[in-house]
Amino acid sequence: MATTSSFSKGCFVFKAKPESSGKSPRKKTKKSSNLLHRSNGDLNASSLFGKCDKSSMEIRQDSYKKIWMSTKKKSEDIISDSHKQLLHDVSQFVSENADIGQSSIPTALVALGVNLPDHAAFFSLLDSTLNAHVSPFVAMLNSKECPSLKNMVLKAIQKLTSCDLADDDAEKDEEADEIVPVKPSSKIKTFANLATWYSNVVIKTPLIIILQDLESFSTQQLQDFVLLCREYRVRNKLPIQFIMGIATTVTLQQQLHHRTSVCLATKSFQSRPSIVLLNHLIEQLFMNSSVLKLGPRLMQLLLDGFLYHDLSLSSFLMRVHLIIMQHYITLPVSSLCCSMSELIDRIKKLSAADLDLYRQVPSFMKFIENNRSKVSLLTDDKEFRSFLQKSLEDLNSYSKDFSLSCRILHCLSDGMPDALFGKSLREVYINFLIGAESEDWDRFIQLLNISTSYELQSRIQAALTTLKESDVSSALSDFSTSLVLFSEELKRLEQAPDTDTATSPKSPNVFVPKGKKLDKFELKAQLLASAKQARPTSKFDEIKSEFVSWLNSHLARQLKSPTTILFHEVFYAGSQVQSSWDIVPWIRRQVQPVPRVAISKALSDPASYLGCNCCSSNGQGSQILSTMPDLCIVYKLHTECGRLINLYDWMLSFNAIQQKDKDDENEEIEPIIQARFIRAVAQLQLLGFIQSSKRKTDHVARLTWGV
Amino acid sequence: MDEDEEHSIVGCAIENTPENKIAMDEDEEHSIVGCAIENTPGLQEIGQKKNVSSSELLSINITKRKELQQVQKSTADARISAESSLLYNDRYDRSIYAVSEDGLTSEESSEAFQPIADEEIMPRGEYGGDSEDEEAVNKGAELFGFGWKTPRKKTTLRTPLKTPTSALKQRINKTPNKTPLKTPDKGRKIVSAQTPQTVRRQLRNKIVKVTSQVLEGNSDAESNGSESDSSSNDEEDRNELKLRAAKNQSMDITVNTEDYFLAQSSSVHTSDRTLNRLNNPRLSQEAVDSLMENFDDCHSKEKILLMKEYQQQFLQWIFLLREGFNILVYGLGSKRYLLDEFRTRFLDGKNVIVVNGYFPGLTIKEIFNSITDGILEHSGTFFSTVEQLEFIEQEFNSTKIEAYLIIHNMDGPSLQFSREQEVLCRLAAAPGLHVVASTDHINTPLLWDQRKLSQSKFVYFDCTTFAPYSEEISYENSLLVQQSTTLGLASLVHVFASLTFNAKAIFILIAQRQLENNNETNYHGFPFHELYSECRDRMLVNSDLTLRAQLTEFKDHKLLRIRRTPDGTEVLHIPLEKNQLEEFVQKHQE
Repeated sequence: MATTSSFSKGCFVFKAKPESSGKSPRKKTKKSSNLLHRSNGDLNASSLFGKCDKSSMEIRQDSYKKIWMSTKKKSEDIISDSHKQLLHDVSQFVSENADIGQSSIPTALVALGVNLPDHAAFFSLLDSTLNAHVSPFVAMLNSKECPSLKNMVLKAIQKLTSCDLADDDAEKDEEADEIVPVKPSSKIKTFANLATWYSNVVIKTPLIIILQDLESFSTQQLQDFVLLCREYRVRNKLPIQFIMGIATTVTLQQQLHHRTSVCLATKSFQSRPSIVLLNHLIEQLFMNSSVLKLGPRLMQLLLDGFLYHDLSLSSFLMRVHLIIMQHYITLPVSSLCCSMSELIDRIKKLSAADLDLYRQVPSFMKFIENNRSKVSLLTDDKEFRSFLQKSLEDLNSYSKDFSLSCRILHCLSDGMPDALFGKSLREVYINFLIGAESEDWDRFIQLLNISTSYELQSRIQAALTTLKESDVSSALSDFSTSLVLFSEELKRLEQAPDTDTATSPKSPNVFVPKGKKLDKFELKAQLLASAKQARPTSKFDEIKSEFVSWLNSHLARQLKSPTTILFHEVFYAGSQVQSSWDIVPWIRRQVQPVPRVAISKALSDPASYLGCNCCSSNGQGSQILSTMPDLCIVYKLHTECGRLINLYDWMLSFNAIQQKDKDDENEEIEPIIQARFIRAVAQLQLLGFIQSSKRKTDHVARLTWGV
Repeated sequence: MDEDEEHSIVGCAIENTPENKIAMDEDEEHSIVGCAIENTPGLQEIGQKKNVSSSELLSINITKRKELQQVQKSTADARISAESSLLYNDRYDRSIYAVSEDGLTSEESSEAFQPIADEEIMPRGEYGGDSEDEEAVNKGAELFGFGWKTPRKKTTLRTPLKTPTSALKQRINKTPNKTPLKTPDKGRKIVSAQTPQTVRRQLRNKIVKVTSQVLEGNSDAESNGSESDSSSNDEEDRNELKLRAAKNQSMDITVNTEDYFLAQSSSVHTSDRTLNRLNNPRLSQEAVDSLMENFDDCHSKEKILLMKEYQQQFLQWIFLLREGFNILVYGLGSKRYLLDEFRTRFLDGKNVIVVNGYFPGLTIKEIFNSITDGILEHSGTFFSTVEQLEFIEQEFNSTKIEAYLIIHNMDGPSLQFSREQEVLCRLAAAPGLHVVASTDHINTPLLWDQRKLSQSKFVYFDCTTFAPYSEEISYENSLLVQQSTTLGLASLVHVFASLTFNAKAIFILIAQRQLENNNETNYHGFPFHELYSECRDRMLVNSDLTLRAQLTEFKDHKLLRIRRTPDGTEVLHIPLEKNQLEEFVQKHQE
């Protein structure tokens, strides 16, 4: 093995091509071409898919690629769609202010929210939109590439002019291909140069400077830059415009000093909050007819990561990518996780061994336990095949109905107090995916019971429009008819002003007669009595109770979580399966990586990693055993200390633990013990637990506290 | 937006009501789960990053909601205890202000008790009137708000959208004329009015679930890891190990924030014994190495098993890298061998750059150069590293070329800065560059902010190998190894032998002066101008330029340190211990 340690350098290069091996003697001399590697790599990758089940690996790998590509494409479309309005507004603003009339610089302030990682997508879209519709002169700057004003000016000018050149090149290429493109003229280095350059430009479109992260620029630098731009705008008629991306509005006052802001004619734009986008994304990706869906555990995990950590869609999508990948890699039964059109073909291709894998799926095993009569499925492959096909098709249509039912329920419960199932459709969906609590449902029914006829009517209408929008499958077609029925009955009721409800007179004795004082108990008794009086039912009440019973019987049935259905494991990633197929712990580690905890755990309880008998502390975390690795012993000893640690005493206790078995009382420390101690302490220092201290001789400072 | 609101409401509710704040402070004894151990003063060491963000913080985020629940429940008794501890503290804390050395304790106590520092509890003259104290209080609070130095970052975490200053001002400006203890109901109403019962119930359930998951997180990760490999040759042995391992997995790592204050406030009592009591106080590096060579660890078998287990992930790694992700391995023990194994087995014959992050002299420039010269075979030069980085990004974005960047210790001494991490993450973001990195320092996650994290697309792997960090610590100046002194004296003798007569005399002059003043505690060093005049008197130099030239020689060999005292004079100091210097001077007096 080539060594990669040296006392003189920290970087080592291993080049793929064998020609350059003379440079570095440590180079591998194995000859191989790039092409070969590529195929090697693919081989590697496929064997990864074949880790659990070799036969279906190609199918699974293909499905993974297909599903991920479509998910990626869909999400990109959704994101660019959602930015469409904002992009339009901004580019309109820019083209409206194209004239040089006013002295202050037209500035679009675009508030994009704190999800910084997502901003890049927006700005690249903005760049292309502006290039296409408004002006080719767009300079995109971010604070990282502009540490000083000089860099900022240079970068801005370089980008403004190079856009032009690129365009010219394109034109030239069309005319004559042989012209070698010249490097962007580096002569243009100041605003004065820029002004002369601009005077030669044929199409006078505005010069747009985009500052991606306004907050990260230093105030002074920003102020100077703005003043500079304004000067040249007024004097040299450079039509400079700004677009500034901001994350929060709080810092704006500090960032744009008064002297700066008077030079700007600002207009602010607001992007949609990322949570809205997320809701949309989840609705589109997982509630519509997608092949792979997220199980409740993973959905929860991703949402937690999103809501409580980063609010970033790009991270969310990265996690979705990982989930799709892991689902197909880890789950051997994922070979049937495909669209319904491919299903029959794939089931035909399944081998007997594959079928056995499907028989191991927990939901099927449970099913067999409950239906002893179907035991033949375990042995008869042919029967099992058709059963599998039917179940999967059922599951698929159920999933569709489930999402639709969630939509209906969302319409029906929208705006109710307490937001029983959540305010957004996404929340409703996830609530029922997890399995909503029955008390929520009861409360929902209660609230429906006390709603007025107008309310009920509008809710039903909303549900009807939702139903109409989505293509109604067979199971839900009767939903639509019964909803129409209810709605019509309510309408009829409204048109004929009800007479019978008015006939029931309010019992007068509820109200306290004037002058007479009731005590608390009397009032209570009266109220109870009046409550007991049966109110005569009206026509409206009848319809309402009918509606409620319909909800209880029909809709509630459709709202059972799909993760209770047979073979849901195939389509719902992260379902409860046997632990070797389970991807949730792995994904959890990606969403919430805990490097610090891993180190602390390994140090305080080495047996949990090593799996040895000798070091297991049997629940007593603080116990120190001499068999533990040196580093763990030293760590455990150091947790008993305060801020400062005496090295000598520390070493003595380390020695004591090592000598415990030997039973001799001498204080002499053997050199080997000393060397081991030194090693361990140095490693603790590397890990960041201790630091050398000058407070006292031969003492170190402890950098952590607690255990 | 809805979720968002819930989120911020929870935070704000606590923020807005002073009495809740007190309750919060009292509440601290409720343990913070799992990863809350982020809050260490050691954070300073790795760099004070404003955008602290690591996924570990997530769980803190979640615990804060748990605290809200607790706040509501325990407002009443918290109030009582707040009252009592307040009286207690007012009486005794002032001494802490005066005594405390690092200001951490005073910040803490001031933070906690500031809103109630008014007449009703103590006469103004005695506590509030003391302007010096107040200044200290404000300063402390400011430090707290800005610097992320104090370990209680919760306040700032609670309001991630606010700048720390504004949040702070709100707190300071709110002068609670009436003691907030009198109006607890109002505050509670605000909380309950903003978060509906169901939401709170859902949150509570979720928090309970999440905390238990975080606690179990490692354990099921573990079981997954050990179960994922099946092709080990000693299957039975493995199963046995698994069972044993499963027994211990219930152990959770909880941290009591109160411990921090205990640790910081208590005075340090350590014995005065020093290493000189040992027979051989300082072993040389060679001695340690040779001793350790013969020592074999008792867990070698288990370590090999662990290593084998991790090596089975290699296929997955290569697939992830191919899909555009990057790999980050963490966990106790050196991961050098593991990554080397990965390189030799899977990256053989490909473009690979190995970067030893633990190498002290490493620079970003060196990494760039090895990419541009070694892989891209670019012959031109670059004006700046920024330009070079852009060139690299462009190359790996556009062309089909691929390269693997293996970084041992991404948090090494020369890489643990924001700028370096920024650059590394940008490299990782390039589609043609695949990064496999390892980290060891416990505070590494603080280096990455949101943008860096999402840019680098790291997939995390827990690879606790328990392997000794022998290579990694070999560069570091170990605390106990007899290094600087012997080396210093040896090199001094060598350098000294090669000097001119005049230079020798100058050095002896400085050494003598240092020995004469050795007992004075405030001796900083030999002032430069005094040395110059003395040297001129003895006709050793003729101008201060020649003297400086002579001194440079010593400085380059680290035999002399030049510092500036607060009053601006340059002083010279020999970084050697007294007895060694004495020995040396005696030998070379003539």
